[in-house]
Amino acid sequence: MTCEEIRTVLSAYLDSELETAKSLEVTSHLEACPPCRDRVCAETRLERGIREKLGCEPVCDKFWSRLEGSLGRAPWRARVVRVGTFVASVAAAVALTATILGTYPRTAGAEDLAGAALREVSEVVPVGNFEPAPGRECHRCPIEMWKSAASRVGRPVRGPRPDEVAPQHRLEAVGIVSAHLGSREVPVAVYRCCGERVCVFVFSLAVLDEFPGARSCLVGAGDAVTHVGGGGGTVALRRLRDVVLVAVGRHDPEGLVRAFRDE
Amino acid sequence: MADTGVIANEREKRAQFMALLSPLRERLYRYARHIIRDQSSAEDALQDAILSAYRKFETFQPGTDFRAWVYRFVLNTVLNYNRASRRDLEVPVEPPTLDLFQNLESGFAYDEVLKDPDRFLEQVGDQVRTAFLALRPVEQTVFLLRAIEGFTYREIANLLEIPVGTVMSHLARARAKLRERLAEYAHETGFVRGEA
Repeated sequence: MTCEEIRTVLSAYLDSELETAKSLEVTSHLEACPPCRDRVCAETRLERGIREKLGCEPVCDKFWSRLEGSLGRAPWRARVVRVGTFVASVAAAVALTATILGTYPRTAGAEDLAGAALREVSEVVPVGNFEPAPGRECHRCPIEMWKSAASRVGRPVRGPRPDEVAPQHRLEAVGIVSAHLGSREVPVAVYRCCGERVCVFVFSLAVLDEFPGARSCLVGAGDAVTHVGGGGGTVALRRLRDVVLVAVGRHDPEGLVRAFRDE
Repeated sequence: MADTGVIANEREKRAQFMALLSPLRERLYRYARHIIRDQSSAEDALQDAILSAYRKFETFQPGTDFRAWVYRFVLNTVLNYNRASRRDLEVPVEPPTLDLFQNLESGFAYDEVLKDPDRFLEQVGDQVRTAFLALRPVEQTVFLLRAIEGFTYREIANLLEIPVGTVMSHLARARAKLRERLAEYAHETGFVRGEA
């Protein structure tokens, strides 16, 4: 074997993955070739160094005790943190907007975006008509909308602190619209997430009385998530006690469903 | 009575699962942290994976390799997270270097690094991690599974459900890229000139 040939199989040799005959050939070459031998030693030291530098991440004990505690719980209870995180992300977006608010930017694009998002919703959601309520203005203050949402479901909606929200779940508030769900009007928060639009509907479970199919879909899924819809859209439903959150979006379906789902 | 039996079984299941999982805790955590830069996202992904594994623990056959079994869950979940994260971050993928002179320079710089790898390693800090993060997810995964976790090529191929030859290609590419990045760093920081 030449020195060049040795270089091509060096990785496999050092990984002890070379077949025996070739491995013996490399060993005998190395015994007779000091430059190659030095190179092997240096490569080994360098890779060991890289390994050590990559392998020094501290392990978080709190994480494991939390995880251990969640094992064996009912699926939806085990994932409460996750759902809380999603709700928190919405709340965090609201809070963040509120802090820079007073003057939420009245961009013309936001309303268009909200309308477009709702049209998307109507394409993929099999329950009801999600057109914005006629004559209803697009509210510009997410915090007000959130208060309104809380009053509709009869209890405060809140989540963990913003710093507990994973970056990929952070939502950017775009605007608020209201939509008809059957005969009722429900608030719809429109957010951006992962560069795409996400609508979050908040309503009490009673709203679904008008939609037997949808209700049985939710009830049938217990407290877990139902992933319905298809084509280019994704719908993730999550029931939290008497509150239903429906996220609809065209962004990364895995991420959206993961935010809600218990497998 | 039936409820008590269910609870007892659940406790037993959890105890068995944790007994098998405990020796792997640090490795799994570090693996997730390597692939997903953000700590809370990495923990989320790992939590998802472990909970999925736990729920399917009945499918694990005692006497077989638990490490490989549980890694399959972790790999799938972490890679999915990583794909999404990458889209979020919109990290541009650099095209392969075609500049002959640059390649020659890198090769020269790397040879210089190899003359004294220990001294070079003393100088680099985050650059190793930066170079690692610049790899494609599959390359990161294969490199970690081999270099850090010590899986064989065959085991990695089974975990990722790809041919052994592909594992070797990814690994070779990962090492070559790491080498090239570290050589570039050596060149930029004057390590090479210092040796000359």
